[in-house]
Amino acid sequence: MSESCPFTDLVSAHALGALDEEERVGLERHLAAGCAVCEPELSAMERVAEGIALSAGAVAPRAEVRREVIERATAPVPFRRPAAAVPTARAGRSWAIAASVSLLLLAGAVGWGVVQQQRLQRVERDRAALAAELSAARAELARTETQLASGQVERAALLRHLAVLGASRLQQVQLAALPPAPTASGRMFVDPGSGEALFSASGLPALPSNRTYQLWFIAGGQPTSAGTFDVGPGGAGRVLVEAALPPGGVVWAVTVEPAGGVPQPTGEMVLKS
Amino acid sequence: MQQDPTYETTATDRADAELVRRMTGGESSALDGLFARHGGRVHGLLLRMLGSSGEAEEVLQDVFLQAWTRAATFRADKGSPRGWLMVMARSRALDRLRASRAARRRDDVALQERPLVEPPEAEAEIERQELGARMRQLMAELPGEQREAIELAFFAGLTHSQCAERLGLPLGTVKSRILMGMKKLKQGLGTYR
Repeated sequence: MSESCPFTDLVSAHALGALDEEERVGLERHLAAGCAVCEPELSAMERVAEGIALSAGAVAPRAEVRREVIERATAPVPFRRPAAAVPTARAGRSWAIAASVSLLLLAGAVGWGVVQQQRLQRVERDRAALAAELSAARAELARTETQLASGQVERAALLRHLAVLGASRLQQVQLAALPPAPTASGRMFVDPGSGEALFSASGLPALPSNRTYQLWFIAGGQPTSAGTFDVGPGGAGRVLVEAALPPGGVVWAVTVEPAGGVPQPTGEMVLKS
Repeated sequence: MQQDPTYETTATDRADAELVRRMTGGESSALDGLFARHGGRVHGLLLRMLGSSGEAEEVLQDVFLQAWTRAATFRADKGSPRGWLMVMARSRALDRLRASRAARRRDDVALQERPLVEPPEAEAEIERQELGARMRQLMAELPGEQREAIELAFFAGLTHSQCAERLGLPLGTVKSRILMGMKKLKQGLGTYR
């Protein structure tokens, strides 16, 4: 494979479930954005994981287990009340008969207790299974709500991007690729009327989860952060510049920095106007 | 998990998918059929992970009941019913392990050699041709330290950091062992058609 991606080495551990939380979140975010290198690797590694699961070999379960699965699946109510009370021995019977009845009652009680305990265990297992299902459903709901909120934020951002691009006196500034990202390109769109600016880049390499791209404008030799961004499919990223631009021309640049950004540039520069 | 590319397995997957489809209509005979076809494999995985036949049987029942109640959520385009069952089984076993006092016992089990068990007769012929048998061979060919790290991660559900702590090794060493081992396994499967 000629292409490479800094995330690909994490994929095999992800398929095993071995990534620590931070790496897992970073990789899943990367995969969600789409990666032509990591996606086929994930499919291949999931197949390996399935093979490992199957390598444990088959062990026939007891026939009772199979029967009980079907019983539990088809039972309308998992727990039923015990049968009617056992009739008491009538007075006047001999001691032997009374003792036999007592023994039978005792055996019955023990047997009934065992049955009840088994049923109780079954109910407990059902309860635990339902609790797990509920927990999974709640997690799914939370994820959906997060995605929905994220979608709304995306929509608002896109509307602001469109407002900049629709400006009547739009100025454009081209950013050139530097050696660390030779296939990248970037462009600034500045609305001199509102002072808002939109940065758009493509062809930037994906970064590990602990790194981010940071956009800077440099005026009088002093760099000022204009925001951080991550890249999606095609190495594309955008930043709507919130900072007030100084009058006159500025130089634009993009560097690679620790996640969250830094006050002053520290990493290598990948784009510059 | 991906579908097996061989014709035989694809045919098996189609038959399994039909059983799952019938389960959505409430046909318990289809559930029984799925259990007959894959109960042994799921049980084998659970025994390997949990190390206790009692717990393995309980989780085995839960897995097939989950398949029964969630049959409508199965997506044939996302993978095979067998893979679906194995993922559910591993997930439930990991829940048990993480919540259970049996963690230490299981970790020890994960490090042991795989017990020699005979698959049930009905599954033996299929299994001989499938992924699991090939993977057993590939795992056996891995250097011991790579196999150990992969098994700890997969069967005991430990993360990189937990594996490193358990083995008393630097984190980077564990990551490297898992990566190298998984690449070899992928490469080995690549020639398996």
